Amino acid sequence: MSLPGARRPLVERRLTPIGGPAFGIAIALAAIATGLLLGGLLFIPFDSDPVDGYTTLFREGFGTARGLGDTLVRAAPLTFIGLGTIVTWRAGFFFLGFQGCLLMGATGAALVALPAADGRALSWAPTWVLIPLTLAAAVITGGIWSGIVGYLKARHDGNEVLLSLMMNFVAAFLLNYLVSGPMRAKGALPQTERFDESAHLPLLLGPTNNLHFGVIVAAVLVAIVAGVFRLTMLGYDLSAMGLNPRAARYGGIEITNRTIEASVIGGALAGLAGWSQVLGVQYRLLDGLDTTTGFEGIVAALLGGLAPVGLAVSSFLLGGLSVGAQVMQRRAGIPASMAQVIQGLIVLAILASGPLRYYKFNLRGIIGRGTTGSDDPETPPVAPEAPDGQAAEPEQDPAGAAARPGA
Amino acid sequence: MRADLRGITKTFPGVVANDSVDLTVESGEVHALLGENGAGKSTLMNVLYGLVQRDSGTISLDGTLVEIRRPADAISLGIGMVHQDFLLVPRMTVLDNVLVGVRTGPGAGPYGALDREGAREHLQELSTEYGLGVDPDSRVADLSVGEQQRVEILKLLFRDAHLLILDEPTSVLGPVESAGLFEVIGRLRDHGQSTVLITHKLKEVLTHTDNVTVMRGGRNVATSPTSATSAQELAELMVGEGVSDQLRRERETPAEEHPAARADHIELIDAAGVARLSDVSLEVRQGEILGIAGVNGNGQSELAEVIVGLRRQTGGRVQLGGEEIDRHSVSMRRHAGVRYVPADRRGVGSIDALSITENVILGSCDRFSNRGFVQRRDASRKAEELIDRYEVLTPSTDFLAGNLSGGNLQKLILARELEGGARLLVVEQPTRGLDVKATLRVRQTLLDCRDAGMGVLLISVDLDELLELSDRIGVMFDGRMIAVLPNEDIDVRDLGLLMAGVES
Repeated sequence: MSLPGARRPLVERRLTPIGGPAFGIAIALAAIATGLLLGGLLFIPFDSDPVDGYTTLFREGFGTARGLGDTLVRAAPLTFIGLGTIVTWRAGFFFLGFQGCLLMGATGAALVALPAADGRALSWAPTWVLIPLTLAAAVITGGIWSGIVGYLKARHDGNEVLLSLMMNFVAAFLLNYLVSGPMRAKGALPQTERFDESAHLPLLLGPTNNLHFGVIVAAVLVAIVAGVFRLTMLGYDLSAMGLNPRAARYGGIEITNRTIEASVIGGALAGLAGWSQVLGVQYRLLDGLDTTTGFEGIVAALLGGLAPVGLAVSSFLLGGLSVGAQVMQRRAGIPASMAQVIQGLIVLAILASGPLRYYKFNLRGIIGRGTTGSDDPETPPVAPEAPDGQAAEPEQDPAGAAARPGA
Repeated sequence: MRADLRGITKTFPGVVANDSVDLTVESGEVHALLGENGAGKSTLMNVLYGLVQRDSGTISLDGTLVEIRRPADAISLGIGMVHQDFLLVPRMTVLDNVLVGVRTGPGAGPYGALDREGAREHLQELSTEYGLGVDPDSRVADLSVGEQQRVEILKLLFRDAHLLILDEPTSVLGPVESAGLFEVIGRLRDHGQSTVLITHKLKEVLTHTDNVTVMRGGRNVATSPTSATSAQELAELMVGEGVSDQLRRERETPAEEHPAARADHIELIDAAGVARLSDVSLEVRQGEILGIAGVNGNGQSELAEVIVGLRRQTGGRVQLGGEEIDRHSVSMRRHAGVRYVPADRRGVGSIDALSITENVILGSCDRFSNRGFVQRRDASRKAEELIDRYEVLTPSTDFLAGNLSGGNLQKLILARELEGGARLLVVEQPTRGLDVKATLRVRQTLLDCRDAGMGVLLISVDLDELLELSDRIGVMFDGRMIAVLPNEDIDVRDLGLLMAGVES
């Protein structure tokens, strides 16, 4: 009886799951490549060459000063939401209500910005007073909105996923109510009046480029959140809770309080996304102000491996993708929703990457099997030192090694 | 069934787990596979059971070479294995558990349907024949640990196994249940089944096995009839040198009268309304080790959690050095000197995805925090000091705690808990799963704590450990403290009876 011995299977379980930053970066890059590759198929119905299409898309998003400005302006709210995601999710609090926090933050900012108009209570205030005031308003309203969910979760064991998703609807309808009723400006549309110029976020590169002050705030907060996780006890506690809540409790970390803190901070950061949208882009509060950023920001955070710097990079990429896609829609009539399809594909690819931490493919084993012919019962086993010289060294060639007679 | 393993070699990256191991299990014998943790016992049996693919070597059953690539192959060849963690569905009945995955043989009806009636009959027969006393219709969740283990054995017998591998079967059992298990193993032998008993408990080997193979460092260092060896010889073979069981037990100072901590009339009723603790009172004196004996699940863990503040009792009071600490949070109690080494080292006592330094910070946040900032350098220096002092084997303080071996992790946790003014140390199963050297080190540390005037509450299912270390031993059964005895001339059998709830 001949024994084939231990041939390595195609898919093998790893002894220890791999992880670490290098693996995360590799996965993110592979996921982006997969998303772009599959997304390329979408160009075909428009008789458009995917290579040309992507070239245009990336040139518009990243290739010009104007495009770069737009990309950064788009990246800022994604970064705020993503930072909120990092703070909450790393603490094991899977909050999904950033969209609601964004809308509430926008509302809060608008409540301070509207009285800046001539003849109103804050008309005296210059920009450098209005910026901190609006910022504080957005942080407070966003933080309260998510804090409600955090409180219900921490004190009453509510389900944060359901609660936070429902709160998104409440926020959207509350905004709809406000801009249709109490805050509505004269006119046909459900929106407020345009904010006074003094309440606009200053443009950094003059009137031809949309780059505004909110981008700087986003960059500073990336550094602050990174510092919090790296240097502070709050960051340590949040990470410990997320990694192992039982051990965290055992170590004396006040999980209840820390969960509420994480939820408030996360919502406050998400509120800033609304702040940068109304004061830096729309200049007024309106119904349907934003429907997707609260979720795209989560995508950016995941793509960045729930690390602040990774998030900054992925927000920039996703921002450029959507800016480029919008230009393409204007020029070539290819729907801008394509950018969202590609984003979705990237997310799917990342979600599907989980098993790669635990399993590896033995592609060499397959190739080796082919060259040694041990699969074919008619062919006598060929030693690894086959004359065709294609067989690899025995230790790299499990199939070949296994085919040795009498193994 | 006779099994021959010849020249089994298995390497994992950086480790030779099995180095050309030969092993013969005769038909109808109980064969002990003895060795410390990491000696390669489990790897060898996982190879035989098809869970691990060997690099080289052969396996033959009753003289025929066989190929075993997955557990299904092993099962169809008549080899079965009971793991330390049971693979049972708690909400299903015994019968349904046994039928999971059955496709042929008894229990399988025509067209892939189940023949439940036939299966129940067969199960009943087997249960009677081997004296397992398991009711096919009871829910697994309602069974004791010992009964669940018998269900696992029944599963194997149902599948017509002739070679049973039991991996550390008594590690989860009390003395009474262990005795029951060995009765079952005896009956398996009477019926001609072969049993491999993976263990590191010498007593079990000497009293219940026919032959013994000792493994050390991935090699078979000796095989002999059990009757021809002695505990001393086996221990030396296992450890590889003259065993220096030199615990310094004798105390330098007598225990003081002052209690380090006391608990009065503790009552704990859980959310489901079940009483987990009823009227438990105890006093741990300064400079004393109070042992708590009991079969797993009789309230010992709950008691520990109440004392350290992880659970709130529904009645009664906890005091530390005369001061009430009932309203104190976990971190306040830690600060006041209540320290805890939990039974679950990896799930509770440490965070495996964090480094050694970061695990040293866990639980002593106030000491490594300055205005909210983590004093990483201090923590890292402290970690280095602890690694040195407690001989934790690790490449560096940045090493992930999850990659430490059980013994090294336990030394690290114990070291961390003893830092900074510990007054009451609650330890649960401190040496479970540790090898001889680490066990010795941990036990010596507990004795040193006692000599330093700390109160130590030692919760263990290992009676030898309790008898070796404790000044007094309390016995818990069904959430009650049914006896507290001074550790002088305690009869182990009496202790066993108490643990089984028989109050004399």
